[in-house]
Amino acid sequence: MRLCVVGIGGCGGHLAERFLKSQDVTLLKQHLGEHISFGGVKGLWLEADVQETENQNFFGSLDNGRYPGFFIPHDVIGSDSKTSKLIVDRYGYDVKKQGFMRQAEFLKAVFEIFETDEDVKSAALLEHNSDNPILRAAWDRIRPYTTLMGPRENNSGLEMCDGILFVVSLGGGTGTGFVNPITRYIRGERPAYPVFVMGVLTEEGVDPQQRAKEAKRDLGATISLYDLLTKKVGIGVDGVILIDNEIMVEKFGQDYSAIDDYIHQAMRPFVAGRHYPGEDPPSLAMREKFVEGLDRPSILVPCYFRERSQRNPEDDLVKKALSEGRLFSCNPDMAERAYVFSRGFMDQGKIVEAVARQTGLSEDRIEPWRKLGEKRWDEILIFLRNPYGEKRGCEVKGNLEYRLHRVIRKALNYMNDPESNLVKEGMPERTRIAIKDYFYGEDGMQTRLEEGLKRIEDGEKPFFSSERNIFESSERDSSKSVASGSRGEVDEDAVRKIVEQILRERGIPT
Amino acid sequence: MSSLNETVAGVQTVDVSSGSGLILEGLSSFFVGISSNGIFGLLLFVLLLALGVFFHRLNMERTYRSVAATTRGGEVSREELREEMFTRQGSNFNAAAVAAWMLLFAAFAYFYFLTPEIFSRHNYYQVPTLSSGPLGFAIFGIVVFLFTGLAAAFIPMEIYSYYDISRKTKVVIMLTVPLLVISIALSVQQGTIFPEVDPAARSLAFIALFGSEATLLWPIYAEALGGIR
Repeated sequence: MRLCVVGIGGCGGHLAERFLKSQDVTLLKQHLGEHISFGGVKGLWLEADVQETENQNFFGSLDNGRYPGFFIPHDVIGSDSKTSKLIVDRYGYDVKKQGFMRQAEFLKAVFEIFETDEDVKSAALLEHNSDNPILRAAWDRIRPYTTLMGPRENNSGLEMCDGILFVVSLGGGTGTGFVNPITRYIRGERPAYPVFVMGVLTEEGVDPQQRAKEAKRDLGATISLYDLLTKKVGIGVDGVILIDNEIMVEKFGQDYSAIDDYIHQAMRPFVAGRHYPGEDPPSLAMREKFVEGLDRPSILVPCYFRERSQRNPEDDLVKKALSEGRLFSCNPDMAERAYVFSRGFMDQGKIVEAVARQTGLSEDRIEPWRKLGEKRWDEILIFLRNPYGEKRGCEVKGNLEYRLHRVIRKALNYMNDPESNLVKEGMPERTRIAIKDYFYGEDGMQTRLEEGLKRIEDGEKPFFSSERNIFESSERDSSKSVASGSRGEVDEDAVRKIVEQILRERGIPT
Repeated sequence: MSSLNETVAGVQTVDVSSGSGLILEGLSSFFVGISSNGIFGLLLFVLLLALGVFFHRLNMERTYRSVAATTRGGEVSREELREEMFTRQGSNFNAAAVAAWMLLFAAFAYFYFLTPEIFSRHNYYQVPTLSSGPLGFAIFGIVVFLFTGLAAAFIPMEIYSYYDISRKTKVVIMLTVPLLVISIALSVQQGTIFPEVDPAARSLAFIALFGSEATLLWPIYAEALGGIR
């Protein structure tokens, strides 16, 4: 699978830079010819903060034809836009406001307005030829790097990407808020195209760069994870690769550059080319493996290790990856499946045996993909699928449940902290009602997160149940629409309940 | 006492400086000696190339064997493996590598076949129409390019595409272009001052030529040495 890496927000941009760094030499910092990145990766950086784009010199403006480039999606909305004015007047949201203020619900709300409000859609359509111009513009910049472009449109003759990896920080900023709407938007066009998200959970304590409170960041992370993990396969992403900065900071201190380098290094077996002959399946076949048996995206915990080449390295590498090399704490014994990417000369059977021995998984639940390595180094990356689900596992430090339980708990505490001021005075009535309902309503996030905590404590999978939008309830209240998505999708849960009720009434077991 | 110390220190200084002077002198005469030896230079140039070819084949064979040994049934298509091993190194690097290989052959020809000093019967001065013409040196270089151009264009694609070459190594390989230009310039200077000889310039041109050849072949040697370890 050749990946298009899309970094969103500050952290996403730094990581995307690692993935997109040229492997070629440059003459006076000028690239002549095609830009070659490791593994043939292509991509871009989506950012909302103009200043961030000015404080770096790796990405140039895509609109000026530079590659690798950045794009500010909100720029498609002009300052005198009628659509923008309508949203401000009706909802109190400024769509051109920068997304870095650690407020994930802000971007979520903005994009839901475009999806649910018919007047806004009409105004946008009239003004920008698209009912969701911000997401349309972002997707228009990503699409040319993918095989979705089609051979007729691809005049450059370059190799295109057959999967997308969004890279974001789950800290409540642009990445956290933007990743769900954009993936959902892409899915509207291509339900089966492989789309993964790599989310970096920020470390505990006060963020030294933006001084944002941990609890506030945790709320952003929780909202984003909730949205990512509750969208059905085909509507949302195919997998959420989780990385914990807490572990990275333990390894590298607060040297974020070294952390970014390490994360990129760990992902190299995933993105690398040079497959073992006959072991480069089509990207759709790989996607099928990742979503097999699931109706919602899985959490994928990366475990990575690298060492000098030796004879029969499989056992040692697997053992060390699963013990020392976890990028998010978890209990490998709880994993449902393992996807293994190796670089170096390794025996497929031995890799499978080693993973089975270390995790207790049956061999048919382990998928190895081997690639040729670098001279004198062997490396392995194992994605553990949903490695959680132990009853009271949240009490065991080092479990995935422990970390996520803490994050959700802190998010809940933040929601209940009067200082958090999530329902702001001065917002238009409809927004206040919708936000209040979203956070504190009968079926709001507070209730859902509490349920989620209970499910984690009970060792149930998945811990988040169904999608929750900000504006759906208020729309229902005003009897306007029951459609939950932008493309008139029926609320599947509601339909399922009705069908189940009818079947029960007719005495047919469900 | 202090004057005695000063004397001892002075003697030590003299010893050290004369020691390093001797080493420099020895090195200098060594390089002058080997750089004037045409047969040695020719053999060394060909030997480095031949070793490169040998190690490249060895590396490819080792990779094949390692892949086959870790593949169930041991059956691997060599052609398919070659396709998978192929790595694009970037057009800037490729252009620099082709230029470097062309310059390498040109630098070799300019070093050994420009003046009659090394190969008295086979050199540029044996063609009077060329050597007395105003563009003689340039035409000589173009002829070398014509003879070796195909090889120079083919070699980088064949060898570098199958190796994992770091950006640093690529930069070093790219730096052989100016190094070889220096070697050619110094050889041209030898041709200009002929029958005079400037041993220092000749040694420098020799070092630049063979240093570049070794650098250009380094990815192959490094891979082979890694396998021996």
